[in-house]
Amino acid sequence: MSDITEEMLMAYADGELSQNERRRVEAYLVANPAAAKRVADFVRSGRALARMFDAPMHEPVPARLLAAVLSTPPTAVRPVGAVSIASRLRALFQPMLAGSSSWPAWAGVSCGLLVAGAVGWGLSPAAVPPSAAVNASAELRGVLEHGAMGATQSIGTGSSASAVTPVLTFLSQSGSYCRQYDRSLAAGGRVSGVGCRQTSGEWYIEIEAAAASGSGSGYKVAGRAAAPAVEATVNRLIRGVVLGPQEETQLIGTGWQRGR
Amino acid sequence: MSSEIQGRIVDMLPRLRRFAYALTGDRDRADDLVQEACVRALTNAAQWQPGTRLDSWMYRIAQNCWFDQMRAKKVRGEVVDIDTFTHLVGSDGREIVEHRQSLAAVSAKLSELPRDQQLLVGLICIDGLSYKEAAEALELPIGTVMSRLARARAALSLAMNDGNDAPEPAVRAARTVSIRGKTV
Repeated sequence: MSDITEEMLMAYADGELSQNERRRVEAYLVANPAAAKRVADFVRSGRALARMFDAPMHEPVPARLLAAVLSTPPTAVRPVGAVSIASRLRALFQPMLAGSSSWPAWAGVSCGLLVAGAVGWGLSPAAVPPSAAVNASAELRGVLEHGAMGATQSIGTGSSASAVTPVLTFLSQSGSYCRQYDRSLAAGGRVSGVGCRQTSGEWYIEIEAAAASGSGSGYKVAGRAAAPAVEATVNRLIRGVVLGPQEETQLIGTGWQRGR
Repeated sequence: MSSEIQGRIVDMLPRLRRFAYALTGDRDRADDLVQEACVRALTNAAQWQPGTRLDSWMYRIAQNCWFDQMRAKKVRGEVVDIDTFTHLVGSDGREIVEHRQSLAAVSAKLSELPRDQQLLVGLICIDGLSYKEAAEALELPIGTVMSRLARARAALSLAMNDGNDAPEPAVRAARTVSIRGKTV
């Protein structure tokens, strides 16, 4: 009787006992109501805990977390064969892409996190690849990689915060996908820029320049005035025409794989 | 270039977020923690032993980040102490629904536990590993796993039974956590 330990009561609650042990514990519990109460406690503090904190399992992973992982080059681990991240991302993104109405929620999550993000990019300089001069920041990269045309997402914190909106997507002469974006700075002002996706999955910023102020300049893209230099860059890079929203959605969904 | 380890961490993100949520009791803080842990893990990826469980390695990193953050917060004086708080809003914050309260109490208690116990709760209770799997992951005898886990669970049960009994110091602290999360 007395050889029934706390650990055994816990293992009973967790379903870790063999048939024989289980019968012994059950016989013990009948005779010891106080022990039954402890079993109840173990049940509540056991796998029931998972349910309490389950919310993240039922929602898409925020873009900034994906961006943090994908934009941080790992220090040399022994390579174990190439694995397509695209397929994994596709799985993660399926719920997002199933309905267009999911996007505002996604954008909202990013904004909310920005406010609470006491520990943000500032603390993790390693998140920005070494060639930071041309490489998009991890957060900007996240927007370019995953953000829908016209959907604004907040990135950065404090005075360096900005709201980024992809405005158009096109295929470049060299065969990479590029996106023009618009960026309102918390510190005031607005810039537009063009980023092109590398086969590595990084986004290189080709140009970023202060957007034309005022109206009637003639540089209108998706209803927003872009800087002349940015327009020129788009004209230089573009092959064919800009992509439609459906094509763009599909590309985002497939991790920017070229259709065959 | 995307690597194997990045892909596996991407796969793990939902579970990492859940573990971080349990540690922090706060969704935003949890995601900050996950982000920091991922960056830290990748920049130290060479230290991970291929063939060992990546999840328990990642959880340990998340734990370390969390302890660092707690320390930093204390330094910044961000934490409202219970006496100040009680003075401000009265002795009971009944507007907080029970679930939130017990969630906050549990995660506050969890974050106070020794790291080995914390990790066992994460792997076994939250991730659903068997005792044997957890013992293998952490390279511990199964008896050690069980005794540590039982101690952790006893502590968590105390936190969960809050409400009817006189509040214990840990439970009172937990209330502060949840309310702080709301007002700040």
